[in-house]
Amino acid sequence: MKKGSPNINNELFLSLLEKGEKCAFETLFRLYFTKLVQIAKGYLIYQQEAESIVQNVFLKIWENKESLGDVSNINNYLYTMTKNLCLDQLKHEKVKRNYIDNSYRIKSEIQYKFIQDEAASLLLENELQSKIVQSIELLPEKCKYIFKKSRLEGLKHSEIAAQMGVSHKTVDNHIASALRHMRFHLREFISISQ
Amino acid sequence: MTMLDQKIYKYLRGTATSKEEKEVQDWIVSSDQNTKRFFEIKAKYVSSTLDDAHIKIDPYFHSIVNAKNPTAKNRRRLPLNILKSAAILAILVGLGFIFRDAMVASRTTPIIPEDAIILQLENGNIEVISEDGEAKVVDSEGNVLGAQQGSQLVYKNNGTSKEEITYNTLTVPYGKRFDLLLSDGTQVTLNSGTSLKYPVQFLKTKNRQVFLDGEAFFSVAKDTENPFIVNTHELNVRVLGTKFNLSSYPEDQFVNTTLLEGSVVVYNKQDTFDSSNASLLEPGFKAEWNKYNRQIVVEEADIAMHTDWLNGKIILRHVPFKNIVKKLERHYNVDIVNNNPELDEEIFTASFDVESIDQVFKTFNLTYEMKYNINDRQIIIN
Repeated sequence: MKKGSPNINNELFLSLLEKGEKCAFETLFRLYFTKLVQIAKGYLIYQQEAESIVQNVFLKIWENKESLGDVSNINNYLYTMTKNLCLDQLKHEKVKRNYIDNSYRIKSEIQYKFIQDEAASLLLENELQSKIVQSIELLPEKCKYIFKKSRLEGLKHSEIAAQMGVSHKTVDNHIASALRHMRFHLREFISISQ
Repeated sequence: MTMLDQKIYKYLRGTATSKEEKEVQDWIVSSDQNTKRFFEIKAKYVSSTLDDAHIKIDPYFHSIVNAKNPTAKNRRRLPLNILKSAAILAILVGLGFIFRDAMVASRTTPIIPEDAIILQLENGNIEVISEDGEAKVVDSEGNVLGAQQGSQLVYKNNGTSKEEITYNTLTVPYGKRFDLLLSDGTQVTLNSGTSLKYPVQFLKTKNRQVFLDGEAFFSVAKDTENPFIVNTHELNVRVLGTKFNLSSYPEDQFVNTTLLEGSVVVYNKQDTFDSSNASLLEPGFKAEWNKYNRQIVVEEADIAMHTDWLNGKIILRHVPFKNIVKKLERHYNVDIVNNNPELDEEIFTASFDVESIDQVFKTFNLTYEMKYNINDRQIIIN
């Protein structure tokens, strides 16, 4: 595991996903969707294509959630899947590349080489991971604790409640507010970074 | 930051001019070392944008998880269709070239009046401009104001100090495009089904004003003292010197202004221009005026989608069929009657350049089965 890993490659998190837990999926979705779109856009240029590629990534995860047991690192899995779908897309474009004007052809050849460049891939994958860690770290303390216990370590709400000496209901509320907060926060974070 | 770094950065942002783009690309491919260096810069650049996305992600989330116990077909329909059509089209674009020669031959049909490019002079006289003709624009005193050079009409700046503005109107029918060089050096390309009214000579003391009905690409000659203003039905676009695309067809819901270089301001025609009621556009962005709710939305634009008509292409990205119909009608000079309201809302991603309208419909039919009849210029979908 890489240094500073957000720990969301935890088996229990995956097992939550496998059981079809919408919350586990939503967490993953909210943390990763826009970031993966930015990466896909870097590979493909066009915003709409990038969004539709990443939508497909998550659709595939949701559809195949029963068989995610083999995944050992979600960050790597999501990044690689996005990259592969982009590569497929670029391969399709290669068909017509021979027929289009020179400048565009050179541009798309550069894109095609870029997606296959290992140093660039490694840099992007690591950066994605550290950005995800930051997003989680910016949650309020208590929320963050419960959120990590539940979503990242896969503890049941009743187990967290027992550990913290609070009621089951309180844990439910914290989880709900973590998700809400994350939604809000990610949006806020996005506007600040402008 | 060195000049080169700056250019690379502009290239990555998509705001480089075509000249700068070429310079950067030449530099990248000139050595393996440069290529590596570029990839490193690009990876860092993309990394720095990871938190920048402005996307409403809720609809995507719901579209994925709300497909409760769907049949495999329904569940996969939208996203896969888009990919599938993109793939099929990529191949068809290739095939299209095989048919190109045949197509070019069939395009040179004899000119019928409603098919002609028309120039209306100040006195109301109408001249038909053939695409390979040598038309001349002459004023009432016999002075030559402009002349046709190939597929372009060029107006001269003869420096007269006239006090009255006289206008010409150029109208380009469906299925054609035409270039215009105005007397101030501004270059305009008119898309199919477009008419532009413009002064034969601009007056030194007045704003440069033209009137657009349809879609055109403007490369405005710089004149900081005399702003260039494009009037459309509801919206005005005011610039000093820049490149932008403006699409304002009366039948479309949106008026789109897409900026490539420089800066432009867009404002509601009912307001007089001042900085408080105008939207300023940066390169790479577009202003979309919605005629229904009378609002302007400024957002990052897919430049190619808005300007590829200049190269005779139609590029569609996530466009509902009802909006595609109008583009096809204008591009191919056909009438399309769609009796299937469900199809209207179906979203397509596609690009066409050399395909015939037959091939276009065959392509749509591959991803969305439709019953249609092509009868000369009329296409009926049931």
